[in-house]
Amino acid sequence: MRLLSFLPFLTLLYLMFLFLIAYLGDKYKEKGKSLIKNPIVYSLSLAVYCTAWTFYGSVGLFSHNGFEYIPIYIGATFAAFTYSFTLKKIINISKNHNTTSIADFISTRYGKSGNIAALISIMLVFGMLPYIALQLKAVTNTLELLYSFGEHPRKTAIMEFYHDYAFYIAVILSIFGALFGARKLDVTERHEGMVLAIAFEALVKLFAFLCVGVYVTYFIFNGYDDILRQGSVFEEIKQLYKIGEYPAPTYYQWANLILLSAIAVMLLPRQFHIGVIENTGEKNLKKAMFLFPLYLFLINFFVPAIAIAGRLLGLSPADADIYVLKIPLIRGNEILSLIVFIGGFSAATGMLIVETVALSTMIINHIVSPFIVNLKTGLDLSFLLIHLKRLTILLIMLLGYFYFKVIGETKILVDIGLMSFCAVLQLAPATFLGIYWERTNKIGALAGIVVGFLVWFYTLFMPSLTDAIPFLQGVVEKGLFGLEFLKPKSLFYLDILDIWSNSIFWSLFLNIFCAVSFSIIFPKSKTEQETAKSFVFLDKKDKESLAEVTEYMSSPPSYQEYLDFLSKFMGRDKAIKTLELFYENLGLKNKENLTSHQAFLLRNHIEKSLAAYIGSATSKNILDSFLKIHGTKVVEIFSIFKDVSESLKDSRETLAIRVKELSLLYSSLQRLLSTIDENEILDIAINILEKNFNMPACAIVIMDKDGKLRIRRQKGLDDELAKGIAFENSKLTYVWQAFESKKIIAIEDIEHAPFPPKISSLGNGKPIQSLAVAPIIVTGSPLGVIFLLNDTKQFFSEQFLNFFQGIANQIGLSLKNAQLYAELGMLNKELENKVAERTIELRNKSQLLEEAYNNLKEVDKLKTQFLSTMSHELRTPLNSIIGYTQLILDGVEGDISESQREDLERIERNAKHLLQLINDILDLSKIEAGRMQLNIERVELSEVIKQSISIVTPLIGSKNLKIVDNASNRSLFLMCDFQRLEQIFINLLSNAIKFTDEGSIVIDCKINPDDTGQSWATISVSDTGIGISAENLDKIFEAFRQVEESSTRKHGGTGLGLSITKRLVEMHGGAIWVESQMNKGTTFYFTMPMASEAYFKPYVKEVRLIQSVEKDTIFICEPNEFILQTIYDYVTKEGFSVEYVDSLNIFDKAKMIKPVMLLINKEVYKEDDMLRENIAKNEVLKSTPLFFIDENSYKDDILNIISSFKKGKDSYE
Amino acid sequence: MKRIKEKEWWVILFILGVIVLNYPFIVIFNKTIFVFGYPLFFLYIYVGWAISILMIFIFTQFGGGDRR
Repeated sequence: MRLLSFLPFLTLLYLMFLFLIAYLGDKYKEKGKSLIKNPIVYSLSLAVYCTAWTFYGSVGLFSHNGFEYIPIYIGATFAAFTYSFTLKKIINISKNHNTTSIADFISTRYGKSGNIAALISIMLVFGMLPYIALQLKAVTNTLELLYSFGEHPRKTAIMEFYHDYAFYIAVILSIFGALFGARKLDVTERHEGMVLAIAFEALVKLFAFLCVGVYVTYFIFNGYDDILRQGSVFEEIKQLYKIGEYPAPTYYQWANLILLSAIAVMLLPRQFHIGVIENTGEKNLKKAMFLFPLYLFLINFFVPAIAIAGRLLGLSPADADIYVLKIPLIRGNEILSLIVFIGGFSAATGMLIVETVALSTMIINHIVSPFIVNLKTGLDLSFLLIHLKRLTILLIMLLGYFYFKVIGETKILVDIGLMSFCAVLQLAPATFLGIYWERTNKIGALAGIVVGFLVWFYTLFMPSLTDAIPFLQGVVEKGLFGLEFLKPKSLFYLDILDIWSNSIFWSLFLNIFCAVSFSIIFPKSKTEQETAKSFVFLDKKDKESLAEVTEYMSSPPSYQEYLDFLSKFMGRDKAIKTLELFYENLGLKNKENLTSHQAFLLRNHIEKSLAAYIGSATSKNILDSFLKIHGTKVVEIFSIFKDVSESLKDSRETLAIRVKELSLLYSSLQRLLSTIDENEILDIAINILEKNFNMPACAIVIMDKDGKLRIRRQKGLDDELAKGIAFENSKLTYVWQAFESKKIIAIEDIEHAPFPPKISSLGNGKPIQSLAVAPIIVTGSPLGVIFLLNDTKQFFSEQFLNFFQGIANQIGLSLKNAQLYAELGMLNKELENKVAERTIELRNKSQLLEEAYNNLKEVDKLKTQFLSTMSHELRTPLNSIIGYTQLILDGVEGDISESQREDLERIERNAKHLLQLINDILDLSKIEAGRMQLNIERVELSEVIKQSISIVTPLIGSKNLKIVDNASNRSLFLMCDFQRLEQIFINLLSNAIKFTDEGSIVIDCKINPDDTGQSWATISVSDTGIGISAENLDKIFEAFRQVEESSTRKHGGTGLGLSITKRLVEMHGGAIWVESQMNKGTTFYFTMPMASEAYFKPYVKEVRLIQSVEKDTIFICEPNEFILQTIYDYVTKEGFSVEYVDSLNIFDKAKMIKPVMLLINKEVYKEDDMLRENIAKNEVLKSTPLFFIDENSYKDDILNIISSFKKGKDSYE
Repeated sequence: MKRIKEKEWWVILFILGVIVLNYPFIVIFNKTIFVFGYPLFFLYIYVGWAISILMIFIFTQFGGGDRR
């Protein structure tokens, strides 16, 4: 017994060791390392499920009730099957909401209701007290047993507490909890030290139990089968080998216990704390799914063996709860006894520590904090609360201790444990319906929990107190108020169930019934809707977006005010960090001037951060009351897009309806684009704004030409005001700002706007509270703006603003279309006017031209008349003169004297000269009037030269001159008028003879082709005469000019010869030029077209054609009247007659009149197949020259066509 | 055939476990006869429990089908 005397010392040593482990765990944490972030530690810490109730109680339970203990662990194993969709989801939700306990979790789900949180906290303290008491009892009992083994055991339950070890242990454990479980107020920051110590304890208890199991089974007995076989000898032991009949668990019990434990393993405050709050990651959960059940399996494996062994070893069945310890003791194995004791001790203390920490968190967060915060003390709340929390741990521990003192040793361990399980079961409907069924609401949850808890109290807790409170004995036996159907153990006459099944059935049934039916009957509040969605759908973003559209903050507190507020709970450093995190996440630099939406987000951030310290329900309440004092309201606001965002999550039908609405909107937008009338567009647009945005006022503002923005259409504003208002270039109107910056502007609350709007009230006089202005932008430049006004504050979601801007863009497009169209119309009109003007101008000009032409024609006619008259009137007397003179000279009138002869010869010579002069003048004027007609034919050059020489030879007279003809040594044919060519030669030769006194006159000819392939003969006439001075060279072809006035007299001639020659050459298409050197000689060159076989034929044809021009008609096909008129004017002026034709009548007209040419509009010809066919079919038309009229260049074309015809006519006639 | 998702596997296993180790199924084994020197019910429960844990181990290790 020497070792056992060290027991208190050893216990203390063990506790010290626990402190050391916890301390190391926290130290590592501070260094940024984590010892608990692995699945083994997580699984071991979950084994806090196995308390002293498992360690000692299982054996007790087996020896009394057989396999009843098994479903408690099989249920927990089954629960592991569901972790991937239960515990995992709970963990995720909990992390999202920073929840601190199971009470906080449930209350957060139901709109962060403080009432639910407080209720659950109180209920759980009640429910867990027996459990805590049970642990203390186990520790005390075993300690007593060891300490006084062999002596008379002390009756601990009736001892004064200061003699009681349990009391001191309770205090020491409270200190441990306070040190390692309440280090910080922020529970979401994990308590690594504590968790590490708990995991260590789990190892200790498993090791201890396996030791005693192996010792009993293999050292005292010969194996498991040996014990079981020996046990089966005894009937009372043998009946424990199966279930279904008393004392073994009934089948109901079996099923109920599985359910009970499956739920308890997740929802017990300590399990929730370790499994959810202290969870370090999903990966650990996955491993824990089989490690934790394996632990349960191992720690329970030797339970039947030890229980049966205890009975076989002759131990009293009443002591079955401590067989585990008693067997090694009676066998004198002190070391094993100590190990077992420490194992049991660790099982109890582990549970005590975690449970009290979890419960104290609930008490502080849901009961104490709201109360203290409302006191509005100036104290640093974080300091106050953390100490209150530590105190609460101690208080709960002591409460447990006193419960143990009151209940004493009346109950065996397992009953107390199960009672706690049943209490926790009442949270299951609220929790699991809460995370899977969105409709569950606060009222339903509350009703379910309250009813379930009352039934639990009435059917389970109360009967457990009958020994301590004798009054209750009557109630339990006869029912409340003596009503038999209210008997706690057989409620509503259902008497086939054991006390557990009875309680579980009724409490759970009524709980679920209330939760479901109340949830269906009563509606949810707004906050509840949000949290419900975030729990069931577990989508952070959905929650945020919902919050965005439904809530709005008026006059938010400043940064400093928030900082002061937060500092009270988390200390200044943490508070600053919390706020900085928010600004960092949103990328904001300016801490003030948040938009009301940002302010709302900040409020949510603060609530969430604070929730980690004091629970989310309290956090919400505290923040709300803080904001209330501050004068800030969180108001629900109307938003047309709320239902859109919700519909995304709603059923397909709702979505379909929304799609329909949107497509209606789309079609009205289409209508916008269908018209090009600006006024119509504005009418449609304002209707779209009015109907789709459903705001009290809306307007369309367009930039006028004077650079001011004016309201063009509006709804809901004062008409006079709207007409009169003009927005000028000013930074202080939202309209102009939006217009200039080309950005949308939304003011959610005018009170917090940088400046008041220009329009301050609606048509009905209500002041404007919020507004949105969107610029109408087309291809980068603004046309105007559209705006919406509201008489209430409004939150404009991004979605809303995007949509609004979309509408503005659409309106802009339509307006731009209309503007373009209007501009096009104006341009068209301008063009038409210009054309009309030009036409009139042209008509005037052509009238003038016609007049002038007519005048000229008249003058020409007169001149021609004059000339012909002159030629007749002059020639007749001249011819008479010459005739009579010759008669006299011939001696017909008798002989004449020599002097008379001389005089007569002079007369004759001068008369002949005069006649020549008149002929020349007539020729020249005829050429100039274009009346000289050529008779072009194939002419042999040598023939012309020969004849010409014979004519001029007499002129040589006595001069020592000879004419050399070098051109005639070959046969050359020209295309020319024989007589005119002869005239040219005579002129040039006589000219040469005139100015050459002696020497020779040489005629030569060269041939050279031009670019078109036409060959030209260059004929030269050279003399060796006086020559022409350089300055006179270019004058010699002018009419009535000889180089010197005197030369006419000296050399004779009219001075018209060269002039006529030049014109005659040019009429043939040729050129004439002269080279000369003074006193050496002069050479005249001229060119004439050569005749060739190839050239000959078409030429003849064309000549024939052109010969008929003047008499004939032009067919014109031109749809444009203006062009037609112009062409008509031109061609009639030129002496043509005109026939208008089209595809239908052209055939008939061609039968009657043979046109000289066809003038047809190019486009008409291209497109009118019939016209083309008719022309091609008709023999006459087919061979008629066809000219196209191009609308763009018809004037020039016509002029060219006409002039070429005229030229051809003049040239070849 | 469509592969069963991990979550669906867990539901199937859970239901299977609850049925096999629960009333009325256990009635089949609820007899005081000895098999291999052990009471049948004892053997059934402990082996069944161990198999359950083994199943969890297998499915957590090798996934339920939605992971390669």
